[in-house]
Amino acid sequence: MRNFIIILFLLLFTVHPTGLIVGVGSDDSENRASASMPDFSVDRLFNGEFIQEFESYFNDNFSIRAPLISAKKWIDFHIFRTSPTNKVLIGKDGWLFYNYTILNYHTQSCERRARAVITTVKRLQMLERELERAGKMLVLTVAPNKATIYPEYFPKPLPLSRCGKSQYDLFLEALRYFPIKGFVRLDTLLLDAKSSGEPIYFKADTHWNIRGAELASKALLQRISPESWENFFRLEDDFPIRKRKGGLERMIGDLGLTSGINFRSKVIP
Amino acid sequence: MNLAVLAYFKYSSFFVAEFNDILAGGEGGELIQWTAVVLPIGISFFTFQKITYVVDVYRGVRKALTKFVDFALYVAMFPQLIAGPIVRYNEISRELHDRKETLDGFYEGLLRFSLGLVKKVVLANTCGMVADTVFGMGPSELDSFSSWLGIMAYTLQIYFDFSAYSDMAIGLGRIFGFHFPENFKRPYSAISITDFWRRWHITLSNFFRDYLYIPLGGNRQGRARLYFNLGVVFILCGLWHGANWTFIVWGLYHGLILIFERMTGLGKTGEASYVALRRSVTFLLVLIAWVFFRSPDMAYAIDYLSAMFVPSLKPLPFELFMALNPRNLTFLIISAAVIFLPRTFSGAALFTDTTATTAGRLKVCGLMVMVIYSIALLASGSYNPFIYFQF
Repeated sequence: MRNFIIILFLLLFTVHPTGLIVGVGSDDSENRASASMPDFSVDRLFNGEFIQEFESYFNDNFSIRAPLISAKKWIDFHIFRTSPTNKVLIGKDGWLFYNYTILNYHTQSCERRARAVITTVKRLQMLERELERAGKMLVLTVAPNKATIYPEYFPKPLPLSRCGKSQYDLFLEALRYFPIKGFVRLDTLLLDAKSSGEPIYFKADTHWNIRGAELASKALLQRISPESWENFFRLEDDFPIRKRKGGLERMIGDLGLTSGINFRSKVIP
Repeated sequence: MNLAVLAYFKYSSFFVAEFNDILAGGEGGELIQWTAVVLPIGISFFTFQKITYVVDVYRGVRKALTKFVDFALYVAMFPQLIAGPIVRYNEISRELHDRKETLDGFYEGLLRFSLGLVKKVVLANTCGMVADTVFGMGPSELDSFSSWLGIMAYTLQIYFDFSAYSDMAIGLGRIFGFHFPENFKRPYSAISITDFWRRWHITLSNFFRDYLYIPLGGNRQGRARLYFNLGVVFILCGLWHGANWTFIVWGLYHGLILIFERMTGLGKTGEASYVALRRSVTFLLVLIAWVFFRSPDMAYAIDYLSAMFVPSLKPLPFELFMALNPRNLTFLIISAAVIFLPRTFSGAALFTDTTATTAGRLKVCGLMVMVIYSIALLASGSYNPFIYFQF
């Protein structure tokens, strides 16, 4: 036992140089270049730059980093039922949510957020007036987040924001005081479609699916050209289906969470 | 000389800033121009070790080293250079030139190092995630629940973090044939603040006792002088931890409670009565003190304490909601066990004599699994997936 543990540790110490020689694959889901070996100089050594950059180099190029990250993801997900990255929230029944779209609603005070939203709406209202003077029309929509349409798939009820209002709620409130004629409201449309049993968003991606895109496109085209909108819209049924992982699924790694999603995204020929 | 170097590197910027604040608040006086001094890593520890060398040689407790390499080894020994324990010269002088490296010692050292690694990476860092989330928010955003949760997480973090570094240092020392002194002995099971300081950062307490408190006269020159000595020692103890008023207040807070315990006799640990109550009260006092230790300034600390003690209920901040995921909650609860375990329990003792029994071998196997998980956590530290990488 004693000798086994000692040998195991000695192996751990040699794994990095061994991995460098053998060449172990790296994780590609970060979309960034690995840190390179920093240039050495006495000045850079004493001002701390060299040490800092060397640490980044070592972290990024640690030989078995990719399998270790995979192992960590597997343990986090399968043992602790926890998302391997704090950017993705794992919901019920395989639904994934992008944390930042939720985080924005909750981390700032309502007063500050409301002020920012009112400023934006006022500017849009001014823009609409300017366009009208020029004989043009502004058509505006705010695409609802997946979290707005499918809150029931959160792992547990999300805490209310500081004032219990989402960014979208604040936007609608601002529109009451500074109305924009060309605003197309999509949330009610998508919620209606969802209540009829149609899936509107991908489970493992941030985007809406082909049905969601179709509903949103129709609503916008109807606003732009109420009489002849159908001339601009045609959904191809024979467009080839490609199967691939959703963006959120790729972020948490290959954990066998879903079997992929069907993308058939071409709407307008 | 040693203290002058420490004063320059660690405290000069703080005192100049304070002095400038006074000048700026007054009528006149030109502000002192000062470039912030970069703090050499581990200076607080190796300065104290050099002091023990000078004093132990002066007192004739040990002979001076004749080889520079032995002296350099003592001062700059890497396992405990940056985070202790503070190894006094008289505790290690013999092993500097006469020690035995054995396979058994190597194995013991590996297990102790592994225990420290797991404590640091798995437990301390997890508690740290929750504590950092809470302390990253303004105190006005906190309610009673989140503020208590934050300081509880920090209380666990600082213990596991610091004691883990000591475990790793002791383990590495053992690998190389050294026997470093123990630094922690279940401090959160203390039944008084006096008891706490016999269990928390033991080598620092011993240093202050033997190299400051006793030379100041200790308890031999009357009660007034005893209280004065305790006050001085703990203010300096606070200042040793960092150049900020928060550390000074933290030290003073402990010093005042110690004085109170001396006055009332509550600090005595011989009696076994009301142990649960005394443990609870002591833990609460220690926990409150950590608010000063963790806060960036006194204003924050006072606001934080208000959030703790003025009852309020606000929606759970989303950041905290995210930090309290099942993984973090699991390790937080495991960490919290340290508050309730028996006073004599020792984590390190779990891994002595592990080769003789099946249970011992299983414990080592479990530890090794956690070591590999710890390395995976370390490797994932800089991992930052990007959502739009596919486009």
